Amino acid sequence: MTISIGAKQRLADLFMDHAARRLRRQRPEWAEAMMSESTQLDCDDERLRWSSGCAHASYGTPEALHALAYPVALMAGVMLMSAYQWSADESLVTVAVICMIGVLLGLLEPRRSLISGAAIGAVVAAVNGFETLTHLRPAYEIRFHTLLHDAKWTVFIAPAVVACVVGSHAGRLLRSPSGQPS
Amino acid sequence: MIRKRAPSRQSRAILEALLAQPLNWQHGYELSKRVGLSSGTLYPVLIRLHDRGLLEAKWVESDRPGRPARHAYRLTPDGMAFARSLNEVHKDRPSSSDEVLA
Repeated sequence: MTISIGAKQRLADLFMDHAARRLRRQRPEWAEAMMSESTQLDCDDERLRWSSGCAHASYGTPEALHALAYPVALMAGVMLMSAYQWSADESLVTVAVICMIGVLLGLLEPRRSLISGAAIGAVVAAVNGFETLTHLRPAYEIRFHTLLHDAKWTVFIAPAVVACVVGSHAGRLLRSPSGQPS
Repeated sequence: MIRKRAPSRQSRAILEALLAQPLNWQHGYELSKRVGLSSGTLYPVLIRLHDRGLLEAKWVESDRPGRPARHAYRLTPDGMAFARSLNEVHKDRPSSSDEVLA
């Protein structure tokens, strides 16, 4: 398949705009550097290659990688919590697992404790609700549940949020050189 | 505790290329051609080296009229010392950056 010259130029511009948009806030000088370098290239193929690389580079800066770390960790936490809740039904251990994941997420991203806590804490109710809807119960006894009954497990959001807040305070203490929360 | 990570082979290749012409300001495109790296790999490495104070950057007029100024790079004294120390470490064993430079 061949791409016309006009399409290559448009595609290169799209990649470059994307890179510049992502980098302008955190790294304006580097955004300008990539753009100016792209304008030095006369060959459309080369310019397209360069621009697509710049778009890729905009995801490889320290800020971009840090921004990616939290959603990945939150997703991993939710998956871990779901796997545990799916395979076991021990309330005390559930609280312990919630608190452990919550503290870790709070440490990683102190500013999003409420979101982290709500996401992790809601997993128990969500998994139980899913079991009620699908009647898939792999690990423990079958008994009659209603979605209303399962909704009470949103109570786990409270310890999850508390754990995240504790983790965020611990994180601030660890990061602050004087030992005082910032 | 701050942990120092060993530089990647791409970083070593870029440091070697910059160290080969320590006084010259080099542009991103030419540098990427010399080390055989795409802009997607080159710029994150340059940004990290710059953040660590190993690389300095400045804007230079383009030698082609009507084109915008270009960003140019060279190693700082710390960067040169760091690149030389890496060369010392990798002198006795085949450097993986040779593959990149080849």
